Amino acid sequence: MDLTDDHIIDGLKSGVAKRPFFENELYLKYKYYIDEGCRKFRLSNDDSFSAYSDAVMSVIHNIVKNTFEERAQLKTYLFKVYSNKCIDLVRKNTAVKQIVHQPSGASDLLGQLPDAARSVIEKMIERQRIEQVKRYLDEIGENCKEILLLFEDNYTDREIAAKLEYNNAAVVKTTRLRCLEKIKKKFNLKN
Amino acid sequence: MSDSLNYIEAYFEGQLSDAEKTQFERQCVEDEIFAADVAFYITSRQASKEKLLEEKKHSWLNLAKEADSRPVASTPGKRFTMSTWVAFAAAACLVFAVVFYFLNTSVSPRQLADIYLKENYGQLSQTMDGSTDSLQLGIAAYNKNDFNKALVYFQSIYQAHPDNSDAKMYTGLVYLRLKDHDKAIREFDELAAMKNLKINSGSFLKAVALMQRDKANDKTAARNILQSVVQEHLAGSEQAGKWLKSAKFQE
Repeated sequence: MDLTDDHIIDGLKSGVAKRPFFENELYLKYKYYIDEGCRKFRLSNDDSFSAYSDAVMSVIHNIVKNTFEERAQLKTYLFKVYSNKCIDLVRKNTAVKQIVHQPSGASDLLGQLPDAARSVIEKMIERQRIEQVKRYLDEIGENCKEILLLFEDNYTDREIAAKLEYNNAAVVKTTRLRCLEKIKKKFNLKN
Repeated sequence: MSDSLNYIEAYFEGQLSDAEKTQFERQCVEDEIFAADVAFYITSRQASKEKLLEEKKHSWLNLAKEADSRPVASTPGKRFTMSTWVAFAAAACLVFAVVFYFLNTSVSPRQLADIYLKENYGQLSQTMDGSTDSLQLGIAAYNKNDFNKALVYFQSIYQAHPDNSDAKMYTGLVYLRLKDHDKAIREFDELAAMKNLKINSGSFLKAVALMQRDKANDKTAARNILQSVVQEHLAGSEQAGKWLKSAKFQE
C-alpha cells in the first residue's frame, strides 16, 4: 500500500536512518509521471526518466531544507517541478537556450554571488572542468567520495558523522575539506 | 586543511558576517587566485551534485525495475455470503448480455472495419534480421505514422517490381490510413487481380475499405464481396463469415 504524502514528508524530515527509504517511496509513488512525460511532452523514455529523477531530487532537497512550504499538495508540487524539468529538456532538445527551472544545488551557489563577483567566477567554470572533477571523484577513494556526495545530498556534517560513525561533525568537516583538497591538487596539476 | 576552502564554504553556508561577506565578494573581483579557488569550489560542488544524481538515477532505475517485476500481492481473502455470490453472478450475466448485444447489433460495418484495421494493420510486422531494404524502411515509416514517406517507398518498390504484391497491399493500407478510400480500393482491386499468389487479400481488403468508406451502396457491395470471399475460400474468409452473420450486415 502506498504511504500518504504526509507520511513521506515526515519520513524525509525524520533523520538519517529513514531518509533513503522515504526517498524511494516518493520515487516509486509517482513514477507513472514518466509515462505522462513521454506522452505530454513527447520526450523519450530516457529523457522523461531523467527529468523525473531530477524533479524528485529537487523536491527532496526542498523538503529536507524546509523550503517546501506545503502550500500545494506534494503530488501537485512534484508534477509542477517535473513539468518544468521536461520543458527544459524539450527546449534543450530544440536548441532553445532559455531555462525555466534552474538546477538546484551547487549551481545555486553561483546565484548567491553579487553580479560583479558572479561574472568573474562564471567565466572560470567550464563544462569540461566539471566532467574532470567528476572523474576525480572516482579516484579519491570511496570514503572521500561518500562524504562529499552525502554533503551534497543535504546531510549535515553531524548527520554524516552519525551515519558513517565519525567521532563528531568537526571531524567530518575536516575530512570533507581534505577530500576537496585532494581533488584540487589533481585539478591544479591538470589545469 | 585549506583555510581558503574553509572560508569559501563559510560564505556559501551563510556563516560570515555582512562585513566579511562584502570583503569576500570584493576579493572575488580583485584577486584572481582567490577567484580561481572559488570557481574550483563551485565546480567541485556541481560535479558532486551531478555524480550524486547519476547514482540516484541508477539506483532508482533498478528499484523501478524491481517494483515492476514484483508479483502483485493478493489481497487477504474476504468471505462472501451466498447472496453476494448470486449478486455477482447476476451482474456478470448482465454485463455479458450488454456486451453481446452491442457486439452483435450495435457495431456498424464501418466500426467493424475500424476495429479490424486497428487490430491487424495498426502496426505492420517487420523482419527481425535488421535488414534495411526499402520495404522494411516503408514499414518502419508506416509504423511511425509517417504515411507519406511510407507511400513513396511502397510505390517505388512496386514500380520497380510489379510482381511485389506486398508493396501493392501496403500501398492500399497507407491510403486507408490516409482515409483516401477511393485510391485504397483501386490498389486492392489491382492486388485482387494479381495471379499466382499463395495468399491474396485483395478482395477482402477491398470489402474492408468499402465498409470503412460507408457511402451509399458500399455496405451492399462489401457484403457481396465478403460472400464471394467466403464461397471461394479466399484470404480473410473466416473473418468475412463472422461479419456476415452479424445483424448489421443482415439489414
